[in-house]
Amino acid sequence: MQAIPHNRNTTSREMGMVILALLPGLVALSWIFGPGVWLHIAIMVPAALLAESAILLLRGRSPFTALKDLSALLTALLLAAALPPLLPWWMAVLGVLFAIILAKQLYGGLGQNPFNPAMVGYVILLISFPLEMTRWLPPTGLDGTTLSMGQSLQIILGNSDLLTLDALTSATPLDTMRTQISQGHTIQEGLLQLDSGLLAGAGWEWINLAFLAGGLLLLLRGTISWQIPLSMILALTLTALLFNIIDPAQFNTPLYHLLSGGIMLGAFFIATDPVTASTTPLGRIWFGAGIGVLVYIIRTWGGYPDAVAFSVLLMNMFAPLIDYFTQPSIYGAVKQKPSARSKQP
Amino acid sequence: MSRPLQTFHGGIHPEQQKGQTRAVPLQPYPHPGGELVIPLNQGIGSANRAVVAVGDTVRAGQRLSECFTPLSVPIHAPYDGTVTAIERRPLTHPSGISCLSVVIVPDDDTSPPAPTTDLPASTSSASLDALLATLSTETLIERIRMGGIIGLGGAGFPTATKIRKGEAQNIETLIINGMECEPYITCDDRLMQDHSDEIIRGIEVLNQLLKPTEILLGIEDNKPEAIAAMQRAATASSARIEVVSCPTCYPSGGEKQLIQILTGKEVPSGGFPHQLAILCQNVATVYAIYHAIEERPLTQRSVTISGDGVAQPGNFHVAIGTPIRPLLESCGLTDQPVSVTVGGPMMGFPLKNLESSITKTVNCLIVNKSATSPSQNSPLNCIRCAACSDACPVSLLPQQLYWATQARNFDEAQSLHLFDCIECGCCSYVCPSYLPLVDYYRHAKGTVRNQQREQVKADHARNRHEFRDARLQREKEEKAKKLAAKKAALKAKKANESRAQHESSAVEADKKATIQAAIDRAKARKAAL
Repeated sequence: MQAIPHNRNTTSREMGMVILALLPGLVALSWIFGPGVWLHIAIMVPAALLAESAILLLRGRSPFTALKDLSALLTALLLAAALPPLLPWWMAVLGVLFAIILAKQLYGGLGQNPFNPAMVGYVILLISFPLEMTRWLPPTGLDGTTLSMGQSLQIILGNSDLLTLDALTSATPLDTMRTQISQGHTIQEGLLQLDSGLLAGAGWEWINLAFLAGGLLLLLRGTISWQIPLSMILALTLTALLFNIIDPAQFNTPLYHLLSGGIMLGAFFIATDPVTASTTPLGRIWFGAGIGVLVYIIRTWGGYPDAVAFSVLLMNMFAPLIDYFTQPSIYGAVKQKPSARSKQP
Repeated sequence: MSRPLQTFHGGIHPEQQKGQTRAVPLQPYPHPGGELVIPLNQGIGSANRAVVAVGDTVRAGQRLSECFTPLSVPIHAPYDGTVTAIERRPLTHPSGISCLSVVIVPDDDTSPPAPTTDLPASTSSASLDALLATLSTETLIERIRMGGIIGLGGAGFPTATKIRKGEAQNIETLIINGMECEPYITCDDRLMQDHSDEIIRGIEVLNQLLKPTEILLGIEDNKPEAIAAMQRAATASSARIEVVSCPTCYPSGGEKQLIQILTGKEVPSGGFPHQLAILCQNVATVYAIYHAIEERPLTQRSVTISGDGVAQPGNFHVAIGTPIRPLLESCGLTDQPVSVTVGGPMMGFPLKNLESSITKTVNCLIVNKSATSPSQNSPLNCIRCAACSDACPVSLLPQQLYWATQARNFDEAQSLHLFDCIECGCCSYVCPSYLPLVDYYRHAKGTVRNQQREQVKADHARNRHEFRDARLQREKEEKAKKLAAKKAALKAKKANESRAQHESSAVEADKKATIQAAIDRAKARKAAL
């Protein structure tokens, strides 16, 4: 075998770049909602690395080479970024174990999994613990009254009674809005119930903008390609715009949809996971657009307040089909029957 | 220069590595003595048969073999000398296979410069014009064929065959390939600088043979000296030759890619350039064509010797058949262990045996102090990042092909256009998981070809079996028919016989009756007495 020259880019470097680009969003999360996200990371990262190593040892592989690719670390960080900041520690660990063991290693490790591991972990937690998974904090960071590190640690470790927890926490703006609309209120009435922010739900807009900044960095560096984020954001915007024009009282504005919930995290960091996304240039556009439309449908008519995780997993299922139908036209393509092609030397 | 250029999809920019040799002019490589090993089988045609015997003395330029198929061309003796053996010797080939070769020991002190190096370009122009004016097209093409010319860019396709195909198709665009896009290699660059007139003469030959409407000479813009030299030479020519500077991007020198850059046209999948009325020739081939027309056959070629494993890298006119070890030693081969790559680093292959020799398709030898350690870059899993499909000049989906070939699903691999892969190595170059993708595709192609051969064989065997069954059946029926006929004949015979018997018994009875009557008569006579 000829040792062909190489541009020296590595999988680890790509993953490292994504991890770096996550930082602005993580900082914004901890600024708005307190240090819970860092505590989760501190627990989940070792859990992820241990789980990955254990399974690799069971499979008779060297854990070191696989850990070096940083993919387990990235999965833990992505899941941590998606969890409510005061989720009990053992749920967070359970989520990351499901993500690494069930969604990734049982399929054969990095590159073999059909579903986004972080989103599988998230959805399992969301279905198993719906109450805890929708209990977010009010955006106290904005008025400078976040929980301290000690308080957060107390709650995450489970050393606080539920009463204080209920007093502390609240639903997300998306959740509140859903409830309001399902009770027959209009968007405008719903907004009155919220600490309404500048553009979307208070606090969430800043988090989304921070993830957007990290995402743009990835785009500039060429770590991810533009098709998935752009088509996802565009599809969500257009769908929201359509319904907003039809009935502004019932359906919220595109900007509200874009900057609330996990849209930017999803568009730039989750949906762009190359392993589980569509891999052709045109296919990525369909893949992203599918997620965008599904997010809107589930948010508006589905049973859950946010929908990025479900939408990504649903589109993961379609990725092979999309790839099949969106193969690029090759150099010198001629319309030939497959049987004629196979006669080629 | 103002020609609007197209781009091809993808492509890469590997480190050039040409600085080591680009400033070193082409010089004849003096043969150090010892034997020359000239394989009878070079390029893609079937093997030749030697027309010399062991012990024969040969003259420089003498033809050593005859060939029987249109795809093979003869070989020639580079020096005066003696044939010492005709036997199997290791061939410079990825497989390290051995090949029947003519071994020549040059005469002691001759080492005359190989026939094509010492020609004053000024005088040759006139004689070429005279030749082109007098010789018929057929003679010109035959001279190219009998001069042993094959594509010197690497593919080794017989040039005369290509020209004949082109002639039949009324070529409109003649493209001369001076791109030399592989890293390290500079021998075409030097050839264009040091022998620009002879290249132009060769183009004039093709111009006369093909009468194209345009002649484009493509050179990557990392070779400004070569571009300048060729432009200077082209203006003096009677043929209208357009020297085109193209952006440097690997694999722009691939035939299909160059056609796309210069004309915007794409060679149909599975087809040939002449279907687009285009014909491509490499500059080194064109240079050799000129010399073949003046009856100096291909006995040497330009070779780049480069890499950190040689002290004096450079470009040389090397006689075909020169063993590689002494060649490298004279360039200051440093200590072992070395790895030697034949051709460029992207599409070349590792040399199996230093004792093999320079063939017509060896354009570069890269000597490195050590093989790049594979442990450092052990392949990881594919994460479908699509860096490969972004880099693929054919717009294939290498990541999908990888899955198909790993699963040994060759039908799917073919529907993903496995056979359109040009094996340029761009996908391997960019793969962040360090997967040797091209190797997988080469292997898959080989397997599919084998399967197809097996299939043909199996079909053949089945046809024969079915024919045999049919034949046996027919024979059985014929036998049965014959048997029945025989039986019937026998029956008839029997019936005849019994009738005959019957008849004969009747005759017998008559006889008896006659005898009885006679006896009775006699008895009656006796009684009467």
